[in-house]
Amino acid sequence: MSIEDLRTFLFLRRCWFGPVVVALVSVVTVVVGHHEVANPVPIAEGVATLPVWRLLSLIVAIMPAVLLHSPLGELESAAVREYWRVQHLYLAGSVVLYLGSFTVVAWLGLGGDTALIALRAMIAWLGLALLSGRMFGWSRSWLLPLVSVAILLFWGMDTGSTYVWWEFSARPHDDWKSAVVAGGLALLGAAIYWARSWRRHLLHPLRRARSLSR
Amino acid sequence: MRLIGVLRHANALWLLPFLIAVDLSMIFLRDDHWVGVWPETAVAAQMPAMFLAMLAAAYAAWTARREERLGLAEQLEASVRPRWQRELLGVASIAAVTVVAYCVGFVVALARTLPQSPPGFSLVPGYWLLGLFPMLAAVGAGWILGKYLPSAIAAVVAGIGGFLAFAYFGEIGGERIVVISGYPDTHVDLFVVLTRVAAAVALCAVAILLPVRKPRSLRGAEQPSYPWARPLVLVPACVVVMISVFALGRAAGPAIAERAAVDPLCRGDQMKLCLWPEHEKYAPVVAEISQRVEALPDIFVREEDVAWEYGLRYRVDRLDDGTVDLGDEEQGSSTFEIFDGSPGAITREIARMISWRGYQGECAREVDEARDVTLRIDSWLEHYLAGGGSPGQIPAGDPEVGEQLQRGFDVANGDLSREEQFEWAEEQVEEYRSICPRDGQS
Repeated sequence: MSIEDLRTFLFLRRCWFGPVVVALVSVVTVVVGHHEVANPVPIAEGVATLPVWRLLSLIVAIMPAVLLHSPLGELESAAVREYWRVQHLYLAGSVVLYLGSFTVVAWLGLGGDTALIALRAMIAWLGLALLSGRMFGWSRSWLLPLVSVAILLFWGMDTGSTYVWWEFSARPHDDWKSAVVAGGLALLGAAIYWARSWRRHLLHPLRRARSLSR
Repeated sequence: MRLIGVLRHANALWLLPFLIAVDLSMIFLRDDHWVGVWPETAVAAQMPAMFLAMLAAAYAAWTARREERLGLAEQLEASVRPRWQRELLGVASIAAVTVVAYCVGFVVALARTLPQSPPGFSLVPGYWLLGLFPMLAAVGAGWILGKYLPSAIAAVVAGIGGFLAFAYFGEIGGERIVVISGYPDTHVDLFVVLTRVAAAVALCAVAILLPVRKPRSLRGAEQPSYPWARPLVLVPACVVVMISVFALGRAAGPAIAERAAVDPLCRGDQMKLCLWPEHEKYAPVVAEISQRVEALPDIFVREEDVAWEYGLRYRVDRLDDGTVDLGDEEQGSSTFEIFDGSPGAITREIARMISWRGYQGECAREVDEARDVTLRIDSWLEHYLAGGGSPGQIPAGDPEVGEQLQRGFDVANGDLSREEQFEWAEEQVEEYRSICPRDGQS
């Protein structure tokens, strides 16, 4: 693998978009991240407040997966090992860069506890984004994370106005159960990402449906 | 008919079963206190609109540049149909699929309440209209974002941004985009909500008419990059329509307005408890509570009494800064509320009312020992009126207060017979009177 390979890989993607989006979201997070908005929950007197940073971190979390999309995706899927090494490096690099920089910004702007919760949530959403990307195509990586938001916001709160154990985007930063859920989702995403060689067998019907529905 | 024919082949159709599943789960995978009360049923069916709007915004943003993404821009540029017609179909199909999913949820929820056929069905259409606005506005806004941002990024920004905007303006901005409780003392102002829907439709029109940058291959020297001419007139016109219609709605008043009182539904003889007719479902519970009140020792009950559900005879004034002015009647007010289907709230209010009218006075606020006794009595009254028999713990709060509340709770829910409970209560009242001899004599 050479620098030239990496340059070719980046050339095919809107790679400059990642840092721009992450920087914009980070600025917005520092400025308005601590503001709380109300979201409907189906419990007595059902309004829960939701700090804005919780949802903004999702945009950062899915960036590494979304930006794997390439106009030559079908061609690249048949590429040799050299290519995959570049892709793994690119993914790992963007995960560290985007999630890391957002966590640091959140730490400085919103405090350490908040930054840790944001990091846990981003890890979970990244796992879902990888899963979604493998299932529906990288540019549709946003699908499952967005659906998860609906589930987390609607069912994530208990009657006593506490968050349920699996609410990985809102439980306290030292809560181990939600950390296990987040880690599990990340592992699932990673496993699906690595399992590309036999995805053809696994997801063949889905892939056919996808190419027809476009 | 032709439009329906086109919609049958719309790409957005694959979304329909998924949205229906989301909608129905949000209606049914929750408590079912809404069953049997029309406004509550409509509100339960309307709540998912916020989440359907989020998904519709993301999908609209994802679809807006589908032609370019799939490399069809060049071919479609040569089609006889103008671009806005193709976009109209895109926007209409996403809006239709979202609204159909919403309507399916609504119909199923209404079918659940139908067998009980309570009064108050006329409140339902308002809530249905209320939920249309976020969905239609989300489709329009998502389509606009999708036209100018890369599809995948537009999708997530539209979904998250749309949700945050509705959440912000809905509760904190006080616009009530969706509501979470259908209290019978309020109703949806149809005029305000219709203006909102009209504004959302105008936003969709703007989204369709906004010009897009032509693909690189088609940017010749003789053609401008943006086909401006027609949109230059139509887009500002639609924006003006959108803003003025929305402003008209805002000027007309809040979306959720107070209802005029109606003939109440009353239960009980000596202690009459009156409900909004829409709350017919709670009439048996209220009748039981009324009987238990009548069985209480004389020390508690006046000759005849009436308590009204909130809004029937008495309203608190909500001040501009959001605080509530309870006026002089704070403790003695003969008003109770049914919060989200919890009859526990009724007995709590009635217990306070009985205490205040029977024996309590200002002393209960001023002397700590007197306060402790009233806490015990109120807690016992509340749980006795609710029927007792539910051993457990009072939720922890202030430990001192919690201890007194727990003592009253234990008496109501323990092994004591009704007569023994009454004896205990009378002793407590005697104790109170020994501390505060001047209270309750009027």
